[in-house]
Amino acid sequence: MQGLVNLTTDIADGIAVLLPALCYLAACGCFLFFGWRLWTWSQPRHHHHHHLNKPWVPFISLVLCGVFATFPSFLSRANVSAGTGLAATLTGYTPTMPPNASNVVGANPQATVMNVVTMFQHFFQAFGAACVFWAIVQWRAIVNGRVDGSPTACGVQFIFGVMCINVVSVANGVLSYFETGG
Amino acid sequence: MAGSIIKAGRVVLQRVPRFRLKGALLFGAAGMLAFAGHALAQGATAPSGSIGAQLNTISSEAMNAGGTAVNMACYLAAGACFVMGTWSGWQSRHPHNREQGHLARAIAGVTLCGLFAAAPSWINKASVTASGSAPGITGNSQMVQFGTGGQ
Repeated sequence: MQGLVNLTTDIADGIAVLLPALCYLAACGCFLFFGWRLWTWSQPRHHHHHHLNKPWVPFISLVLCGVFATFPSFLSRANVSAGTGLAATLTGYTPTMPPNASNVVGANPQATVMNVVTMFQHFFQAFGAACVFWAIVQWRAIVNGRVDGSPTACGVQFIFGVMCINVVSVANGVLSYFETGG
Repeated sequence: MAGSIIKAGRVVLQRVPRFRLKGALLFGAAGMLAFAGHALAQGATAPSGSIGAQLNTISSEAMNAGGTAVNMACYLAAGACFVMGTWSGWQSRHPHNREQGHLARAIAGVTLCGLFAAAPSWINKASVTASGSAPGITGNSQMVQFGTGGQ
């Protein structure tokens, strides 16, 4: 069990360090797309295509460039909206100390569930942040017409990611629901 | 013989004897469980040479390479927009080009030259618009931390 906790915590560290790099590259890509799309619009021979019927496309990319460049702040605001106010910040890479898995069994089933959720909390949080990032990337691709997808599905994925980030609060809420019988 | 054999340059599949397959599967499963038991019995430590450390190196290199490439792209784009914008402005002075949109391309080229040359400033403004703060993600490798983290 301890090895599994160590492994998932280290994978969470990997996701947590990859995410800023992906956000950095995505922000740069969005900005270049914005500038390049405006330039193609100014070309007389390109008036018949390149999103001229959707003039908001490059400007959405510009705003998403800002979202990616400030992704932790964006996650913090999403957490405030979710009611937890869990702050997401950037720090230098330091291996996260995995929780001790020797005392996983609690005094009652609820405590045991909470122990398990807390042990894998870092993985849930990193995975949730990656889900939010991917939901935004996917939504941008749909808006740009590059992917046939559902914006609603992106919204559901976004909410799922935020819930994963706040998994301890969600688990507490679910357990309290079962304890009180609704 | 179990598995496949090569006969005259052709791979010939043969029926696998059931008892040998079972034995091999049992042996393999026992070996994996023994390895997993050994691996999962370790203490709660944060190893330095782990997957996370290697991904940190990878992300650092990706940010360095990506940042350099984007800098170069913005530099070249600013130069190209300026040259093509001024050339379009020159072309627009010819009477037979008056209705070809050259003047609009000239204005767009010079404007986008400034946009690409001031890319960091524009990204900063976009960040303030999107999240109300300056860009936190820079070209240095960093790690997202929730709350106080687990260090």
